Amino acid sequence: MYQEHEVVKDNNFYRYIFENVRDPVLIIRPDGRIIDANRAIIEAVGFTKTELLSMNVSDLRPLSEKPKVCEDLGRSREGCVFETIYQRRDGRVFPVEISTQGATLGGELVFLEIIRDITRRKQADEAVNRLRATLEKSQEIAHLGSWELDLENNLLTWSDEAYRIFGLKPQEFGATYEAFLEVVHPDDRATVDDAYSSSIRLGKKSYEIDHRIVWKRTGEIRFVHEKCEHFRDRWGNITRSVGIVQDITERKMAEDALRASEERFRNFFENAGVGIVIGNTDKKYLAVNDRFCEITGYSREELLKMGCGELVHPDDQEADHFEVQRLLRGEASSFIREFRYVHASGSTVWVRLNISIMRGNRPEDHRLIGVVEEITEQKRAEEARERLLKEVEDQRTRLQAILDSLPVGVWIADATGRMVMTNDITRVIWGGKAPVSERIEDYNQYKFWWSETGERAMAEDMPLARAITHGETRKNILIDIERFDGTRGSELISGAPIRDSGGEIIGGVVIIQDISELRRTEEELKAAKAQAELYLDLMGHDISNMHQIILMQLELALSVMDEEGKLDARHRDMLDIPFKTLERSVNLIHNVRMLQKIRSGEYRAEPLDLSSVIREIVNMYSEVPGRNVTIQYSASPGQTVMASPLIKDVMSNLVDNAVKHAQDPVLIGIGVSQVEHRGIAYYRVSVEDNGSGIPDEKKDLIFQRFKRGQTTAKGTGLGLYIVKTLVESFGGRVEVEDRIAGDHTRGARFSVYLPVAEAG
Amino acid sequence: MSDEYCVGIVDDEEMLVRTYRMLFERQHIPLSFIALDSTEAIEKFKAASPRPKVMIIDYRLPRASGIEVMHEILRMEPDTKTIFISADGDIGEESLKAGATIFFKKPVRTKEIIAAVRSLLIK
Repeated sequence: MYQEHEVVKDNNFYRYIFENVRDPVLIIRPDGRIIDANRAIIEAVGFTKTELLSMNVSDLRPLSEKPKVCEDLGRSREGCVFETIYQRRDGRVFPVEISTQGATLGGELVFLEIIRDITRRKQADEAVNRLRATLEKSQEIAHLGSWELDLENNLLTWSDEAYRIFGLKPQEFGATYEAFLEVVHPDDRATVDDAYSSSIRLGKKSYEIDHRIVWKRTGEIRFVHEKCEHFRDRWGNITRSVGIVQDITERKMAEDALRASEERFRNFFENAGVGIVIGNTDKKYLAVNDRFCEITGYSREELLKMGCGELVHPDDQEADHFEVQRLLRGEASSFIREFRYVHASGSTVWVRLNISIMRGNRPEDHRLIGVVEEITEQKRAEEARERLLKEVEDQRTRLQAILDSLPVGVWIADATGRMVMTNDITRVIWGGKAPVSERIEDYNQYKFWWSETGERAMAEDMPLARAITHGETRKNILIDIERFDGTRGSELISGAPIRDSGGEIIGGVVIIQDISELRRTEEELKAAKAQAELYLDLMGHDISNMHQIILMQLELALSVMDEEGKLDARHRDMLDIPFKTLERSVNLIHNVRMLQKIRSGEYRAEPLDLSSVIREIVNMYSEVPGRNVTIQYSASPGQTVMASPLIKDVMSNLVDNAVKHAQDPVLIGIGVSQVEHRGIAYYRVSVEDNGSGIPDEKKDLIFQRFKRGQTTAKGTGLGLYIVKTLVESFGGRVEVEDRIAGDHTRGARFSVYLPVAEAG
Repeated sequence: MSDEYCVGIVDDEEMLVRTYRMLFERQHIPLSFIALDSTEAIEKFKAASPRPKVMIIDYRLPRASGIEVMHEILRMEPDTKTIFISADGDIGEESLKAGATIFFKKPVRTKEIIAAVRSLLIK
């Protein structure tokens, strides 16, 4: 009884416990069917007990967890703890930790499952994980790693970022102090080790150090900043050290770059080839470089005490002030000005100032930055250039004036053929226009033809183009032009290149001479000459025929009268007059024809022996009927002159004149001597007489055409004119003088100069 | 003087040829013909029988020059003697080279003409 009672009592007791335990409990069969459930589970899942007792544990799991039920049941026999998810009657799910244990109940195997809602635990875990992830991310973003050394357990831990900073994969191996030293740059290793060791040894609370590390994988050297703090126990023993490690490579490089940049700027400032000044709004120098000192002649110390405007030349100060005020008022951000400084030595220095303003937050923080370039030499060169330009312009003006005063057209072009200068006559020649030509092709605007061939001249063949492109000099080429007003003209054109001192062609010049009028006159003259020659020829021929008729008729008449005995002395005298007149007329015609031939160059000079010519003349006049004539001449053979055989006529004319103009006894002297005149050798043949001579005022006239000197002799007036013309046609000349100087009444001396023929 | 020793004259100046005719008649020198131009001269020379032994030829003639007339005459009768007369003395050399026997520059004296003609006629 007791036993039954005790059993019942025990059952009640356990039921009580089962029902009132705070943890939800289920008793299930191995197939998962629920055979009992306590109050806590009913509250947790929201099902009634009756409902639960008709369910399988898999019914308490959401769909995603159902497949695991079998596995979970399989290991429940041995007892285990696992986590899964339960789904309440209202559909809400929650995480649970199930502790299961197999047991025998009434000889039947059952599983006792104690279910614990782990929703809060899960939430705490997630919060911790998020925090850790945030910390990791923060470390990663900040390139800030951390480490902790537990000295009691000699355990070192590195954060993920610490691994990354050291060039390692997070947690790729267990961190040790030795592994850390391995990462440190070999040159910094001892220092880093000593920093840590000495901080412990010396009992420091913390220390900081910057050092290099080397990434093993890539060999890259990076910079880190480390800070370490020691924690102690109540007895002062260091129990752990906590440190942060920060990758400062970028910052370090930026600092280095900045330092280098500052260095460069300082170098630039100090060593610049231009002056650089920094001033404030009070126009005081705050900084000046060496070059500026050099430009102004003042030391840096002197300049820093001076006002910026003090150096400016008095004449330039107003403008300087004006420009600076514009900058300060914000009307301009910079300006460039050329002006003068007064050098410390008192001399004037030309500078080009490029000044700009660097604005600060407050007006007094504004800075004026000036770059000063000395341009004294440049200014001098500019002034010299301006002087030169003016000189060139003056010369050009003078040249233009000269060109405009020339009676010929002048056209000057540069090496490209561009017309650079021309003159008034050019425009006149081309009918009031001289279109500008920019290049050689443009010359085709000017229409002209080669007179010789009648072919049109193309631009590239024109003398100016040939001078520029081929360096050709061409002179006096006859061309026909069509002017811009449509009229035509004849021109003489010459072209030549213009070269610089090195012989390079830098242009060309062409000269155009309008010979239209000249050519017209020439043509008319030629026609008139041809006509005159024709008339002369016809007249000479016809008059000669008339002379022939008169002469023959007179002689026939004389002969008839003589035969018939009707010719007495009186008749002879009367008939002598027409004979003599006829003779003069014949001479006149002869002389005129001879002049015509001399003029047309028909008598060519050839080497002639003077002595034989003179001897012939002497013989001719050795006996003049009714006259007493003596000719003195001593011949010298070998005297050869250049003349035509007509020189005999010259000599006979002179001797004949002497005979005619002198009273008996006539004494004529002929002499030959060699003389030189203007570098040319002549034989001078002098013929002197004892006649009535030629007064001074008549001496020039006797050689002129249709003029006669005062003389008792008869003549046509052409004799000495022909002598002069003939001798000059041989390159000689004729002179007359008194035989006795100063007394013309005692005879004249004619001298004929004939060029000496060259031997051979 | 026999007719076979006759003279022919070519000159375009009528008054002159009339004077020649008077002169030769007076000197009893037979005239074969007188021609006033070159064509007439050649035709008359060709037609003349006997042909003149001496020809007096003026240089300047209508139609063709005296030189050409002389060439034609000498071609027909190479033995013909020719007296060339011109107002232009420069023609002398040219005419002699061309075959003239004597050259006279106008004006020439009648006695010179007669002497020349006579001397040539008897050659």
